[in-house]
Amino acid sequence: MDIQQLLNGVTLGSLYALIAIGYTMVYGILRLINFAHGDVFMFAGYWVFFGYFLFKLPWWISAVLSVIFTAAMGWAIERIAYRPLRHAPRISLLITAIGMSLLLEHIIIVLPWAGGIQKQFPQPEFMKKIFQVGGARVQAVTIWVPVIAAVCLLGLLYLLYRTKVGRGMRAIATDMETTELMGADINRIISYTFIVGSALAAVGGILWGCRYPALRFDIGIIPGWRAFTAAVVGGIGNVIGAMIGGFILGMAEILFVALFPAYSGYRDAVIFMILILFLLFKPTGIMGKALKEKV
Amino acid sequence: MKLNRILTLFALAALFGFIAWGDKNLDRFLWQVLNFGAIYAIAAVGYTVINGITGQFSLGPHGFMLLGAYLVTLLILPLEQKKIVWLFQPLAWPFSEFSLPYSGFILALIAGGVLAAIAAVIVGIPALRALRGDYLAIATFGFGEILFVLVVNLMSLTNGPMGITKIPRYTNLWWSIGALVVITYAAVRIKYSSFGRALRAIKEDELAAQSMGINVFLMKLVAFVFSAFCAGVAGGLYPTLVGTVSPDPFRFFMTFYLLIIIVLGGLGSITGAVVMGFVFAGIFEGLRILDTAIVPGMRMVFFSVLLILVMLFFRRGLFGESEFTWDWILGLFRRRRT
Amino acid sequence: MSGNNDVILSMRRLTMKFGGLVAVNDFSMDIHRGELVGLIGPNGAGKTTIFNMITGHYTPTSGKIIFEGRDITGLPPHKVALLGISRTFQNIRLCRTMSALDNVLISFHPHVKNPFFGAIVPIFGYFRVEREIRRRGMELLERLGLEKWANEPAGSLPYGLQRRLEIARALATEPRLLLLDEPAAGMNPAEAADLMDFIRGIRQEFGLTIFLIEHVMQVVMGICPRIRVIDFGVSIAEGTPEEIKSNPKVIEAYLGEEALGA
Repeated sequence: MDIQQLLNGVTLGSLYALIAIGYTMVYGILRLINFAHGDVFMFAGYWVFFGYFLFKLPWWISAVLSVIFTAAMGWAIERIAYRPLRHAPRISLLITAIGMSLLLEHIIIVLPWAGGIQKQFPQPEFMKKIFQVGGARVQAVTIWVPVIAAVCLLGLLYLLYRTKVGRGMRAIATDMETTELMGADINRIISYTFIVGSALAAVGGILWGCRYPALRFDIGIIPGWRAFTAAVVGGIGNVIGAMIGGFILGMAEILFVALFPAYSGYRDAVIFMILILFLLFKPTGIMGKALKEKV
Repeated sequence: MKLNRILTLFALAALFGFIAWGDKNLDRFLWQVLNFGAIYAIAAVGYTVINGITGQFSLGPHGFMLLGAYLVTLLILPLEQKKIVWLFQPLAWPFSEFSLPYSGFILALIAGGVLAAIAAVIVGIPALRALRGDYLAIATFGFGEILFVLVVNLMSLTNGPMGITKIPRYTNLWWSIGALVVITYAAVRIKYSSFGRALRAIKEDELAAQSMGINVFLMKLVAFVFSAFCAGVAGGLYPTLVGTVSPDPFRFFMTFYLLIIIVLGGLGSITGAVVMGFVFAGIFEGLRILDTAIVPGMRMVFFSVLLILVMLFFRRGLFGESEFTWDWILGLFRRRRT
Repeated sequence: MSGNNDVILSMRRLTMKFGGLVAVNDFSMDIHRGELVGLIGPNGAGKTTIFNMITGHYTPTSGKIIFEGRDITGLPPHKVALLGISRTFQNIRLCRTMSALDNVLISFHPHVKNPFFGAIVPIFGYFRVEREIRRRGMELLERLGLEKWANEPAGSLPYGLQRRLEIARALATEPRLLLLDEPAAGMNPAEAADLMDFIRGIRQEFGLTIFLIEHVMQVVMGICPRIRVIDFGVSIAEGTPEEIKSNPKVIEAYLGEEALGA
């Protein structure tokens, strides 16, 4: 594995980590696998595209607005589709999430400015600069992604462990009923969780676009599943686990393609195999403690 | 009791007559829609048994349908066509050596169902023993995706994403509705038997069911295998209807369609699955006009919004967990009189 | 008090650990055929855990359970049920949307040969078996005074009758040993008195051995000639109701005599 691949692995891992956090946080508090999360990530790329090409806004402003709009979307989805079903059987919630995921994908297809065909994500110049690292030529974005991701992740850890809201999130993840009885505003905290998770996914989506500029309605699906697998591998419900899982999966993917180029078509199957094996044999992942299940 | 039997026989005779007339005389579009409807209904009935009645959330039927579709194709595609399709990479043995004639179609369909059933055993043994709820859904989804990847990549068996064309179009109303009648009969018998009671008990309270001497794992597995068999048969009828097969129609979307069908129809209702199978096919094909004339993708927007609305407001669906019975219809008449 | 030596259930040095937590520690007890034995202790003492070990929902970390001479340690719950041990649950676990009769009929399922294929292609005898279990189910409901509710959804029964239905369901598997987990929970003294008669009655009529967990002292003191007390997973006393009531260790565990007063 050379420098080029190593850096690719780190980049990919960071991206997966950013998305995985949203999955893991939502699962931690609601025990819901938010199928729509990967599509939220995809939408972020489109927001930038709209801002830049449709409204002719500078790239920076488009990016910032994208994060804001994506976070708002995450909030809205929870509010409209998940909150009313909070006490419904889990299957109902899962089905709704699936419906939401498909809805998001097809809204993009239907929008005249997007459509089902591939669009080009606007990559800013500073991301496209080529550097020499070791013996390899890398785009600036390959360096920027892990850096920005790290900053975001540190910010998240600060939020979770040093702020009241973060404490609330961790409390709900441990025991929602008791937290509610102690007077915490569950709805608000859950909303924050979705906002934060979606914002991070947005950052991931924007960075993804900088690295892989192909923009399509379905680009959220595969990374979404990879990120979910990462969350499970790291220990679902555990934020640090999601970060670690993301890196592991990113590196593993690059390694797999490097070592077995003939089988790269089987990549997805391998990822799902990993997911299933973890679910069957180590559902708490690498870091996780078992999430309480009443007998 | 006797009255029910007579009414059922009457209805079957009427159905028979309808198929006899309709298979030749119906408008081609309508004929196509009815066939599609029956195919969706077959898969949906099986899906109802595992999802609705037993409460085990499987997201994998598209994979089972895929297996059925390809096995049937491989069995009945004429040898000359096989040589043409598998030009660059020769078709694997033994399919390269033989093809079943029309008289073997029923065998091919059953084989498709059996293959899917075997796959269900392989998937179900680890998954149903260890997983529940969301995790089971994810695992079954994962297996469906793995199957999909395998099919796309095993060119010597499936010709990959390019698909197979010029498949003899054996499917007609006799086959599709006939298979539907048989499968529906089986499903209804299951639901109203001791086995069905046990399945419902598992859905409501697994722990309690175990304490009553029910081997929960085994029953889940049998229900799962049955649903896979249905999906396999449904899948087998598909390529022989449209004349081509490719992995594409059996992406996750197919499971989503089945999900819509059983949710709208009522999660535990076999009647709901059958009715909504046809309704869905009608709307789906009908909306195809919407798609091409107005905007592609609108169909799915419509269906996903519908699904979300139903989950939010009409979770019981059309029939809830109940079935259509003659008593219910007669009851309608009786009420009108008084 | 039965004078026989016929031990139907023998629990030997049962220990249950959940990670670092020891829920039950070195618990041993013999129950004789035909006995009505009580198990009491403060909340969290490990009583239900012991039941769960007997019925196979938990596998003991160490120790053995011998039922009618047979080692059933670690057997899965459905096998334990088929061997002759039935139970009810602390929070009534009925299938609420199914009818009362259906709830009972579920327990008869193991009697049906070829349940899956027989349902689809009913060969000779399949329908006869179905009729038979229906008849036996109704009979059971009648014996327990529930026949009026046979076709009502189980969730619509009054609380006391739901308890009875859960017991009916447990009886359908023809157990020799019945484990009752807090059957008097939520009952007022009148209902509890009814329950006491009911339990005595079914024990007589069905020839059962009954092992009873209970918090309502009126009930357990009233019908159990022998009572075992546990606290923090460990046995602390055993004896007749009078002996238990005056045992200082038991009083201490329960923080005050009011609890034992009844």
